[in-house]
Amino acid sequence: MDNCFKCRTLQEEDEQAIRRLVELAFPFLPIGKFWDWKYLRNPSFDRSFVAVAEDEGKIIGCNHWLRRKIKLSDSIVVDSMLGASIAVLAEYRKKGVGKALIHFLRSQHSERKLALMYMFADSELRKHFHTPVAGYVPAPGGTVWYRKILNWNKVNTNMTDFNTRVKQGEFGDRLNNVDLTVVFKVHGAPPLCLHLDGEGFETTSSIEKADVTISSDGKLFTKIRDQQIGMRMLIGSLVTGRLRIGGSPRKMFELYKNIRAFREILSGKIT
Amino acid sequence: MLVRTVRDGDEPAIVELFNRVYCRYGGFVPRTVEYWRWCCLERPDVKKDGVFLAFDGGNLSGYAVAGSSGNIWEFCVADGDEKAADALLVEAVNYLEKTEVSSVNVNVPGDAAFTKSLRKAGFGEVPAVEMFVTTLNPAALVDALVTSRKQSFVGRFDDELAVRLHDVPYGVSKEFSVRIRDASVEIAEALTAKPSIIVDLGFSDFLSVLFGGSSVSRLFLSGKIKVKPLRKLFAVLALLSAIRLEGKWFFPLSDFI
Repeated sequence: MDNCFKCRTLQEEDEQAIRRLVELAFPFLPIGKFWDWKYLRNPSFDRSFVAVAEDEGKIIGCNHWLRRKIKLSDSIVVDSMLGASIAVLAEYRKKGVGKALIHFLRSQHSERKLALMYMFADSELRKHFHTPVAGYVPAPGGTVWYRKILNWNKVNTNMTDFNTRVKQGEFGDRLNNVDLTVVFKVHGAPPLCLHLDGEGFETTSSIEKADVTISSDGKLFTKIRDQQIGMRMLIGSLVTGRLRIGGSPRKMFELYKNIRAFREILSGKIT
Repeated sequence: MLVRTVRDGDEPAIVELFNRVYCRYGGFVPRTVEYWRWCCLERPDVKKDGVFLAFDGGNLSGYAVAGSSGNIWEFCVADGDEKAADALLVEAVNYLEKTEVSSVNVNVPGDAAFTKSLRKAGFGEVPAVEMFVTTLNPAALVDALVTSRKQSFVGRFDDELAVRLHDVPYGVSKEFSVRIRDASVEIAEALTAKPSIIVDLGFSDFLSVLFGGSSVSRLFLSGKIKVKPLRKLFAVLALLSAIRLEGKWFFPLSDFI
């Protein structure tokens, strides 16, 4: 399968397949509307800046470039290209399709003398894909993201899934003796009070009766949840008061023993 | 202080405010009415009743573009107008609460005065996606950086530099030359026949220097930049330091998706 695909520029008849592909790759975007808005209705959209990869007539990947002017400093504005929406069907990933798409667009537009290309990604993806393939380096910093959590509805959905698995016996008798209430106080969010016992999780409003209280800011909470924090930073956060954990040692040990269950319902997209 | 939703004809004032408030930053698309309409008003999750404008004495002092996905795509407040920032955040959050989203996201320059208003309104800093840059044509990038600072080179340099890059990604030219004489600076993609200085460095180090990620002298001390003849080292360091970008960058959410 590796070498069967070929890359070419987007044709009008590919649009339906590309729309579907982008929706599959970016499920959090509004279905059916996003691609049309971002590309077809974009004042600077140009089909020659979109590459598709096909395997025996089937569209398996795409990469979009968007022409934009961008400011480099208070007085310098340059023509640039945004490397946007690179998507490859799951079964064709790690076979060089993304790299081939980038190389194809670069070879097609080599005469354009592009001073700047930019893109947005998380650091891991950039390190393992975008830098080796296209030489991306971090842009000057300065942008800070803020979030206000309005509710924990998505945690409720995760809890329902978890409790179904408890009922199906997936956890055996591991939760039988558990009786633990933990309240999470995250800056900028309503408190989240979770009770775990043999039947699974439930939310409770009795914050004052919580066995363990965990308080932190949103950035730290996300890092702990995503396991992006080492023991040294965890201890440092406790020492500086950025992370506070309160409760009896017995209950804190009970939380430690069941941390996987909590991590499971708090992982993924919860806000 | 008056806060109302957007109306036809508000766009020129909005665009002017955005470009004025964020003028000292790099990293974003300078707003035109056409671009702003497309990236805010026509966005699939944005309706006109989610675009709030704050006026102070008849002048636009801020605006917020809230989308039903929970993103405040653009948040812009004239420097120091805390009242406008507070009022816009209240309107945007109230609007998004009605759409039953789980959270509200917004990004702003870290040193903006209105970050205080965000914290007051219950927003907390979160880790996020970052912006990355590269070039397909190093000569064109250097040309853009040099052109705006030409005046600072007058009388300081009289050299022809040949810059050789290694570890360049696919499709990128490996060399270029810079000829500086009096007030004239010429950048060419080919190397000159008899350069007075030859500079060798890695592609990513070259970009890191220009975009402020690495210091030129540190790269030299670690052996990552090689200059021939060595006596011209200070001229190279001075040139690279003169063209590197020092300012902060800010990209609003509306430029990101």
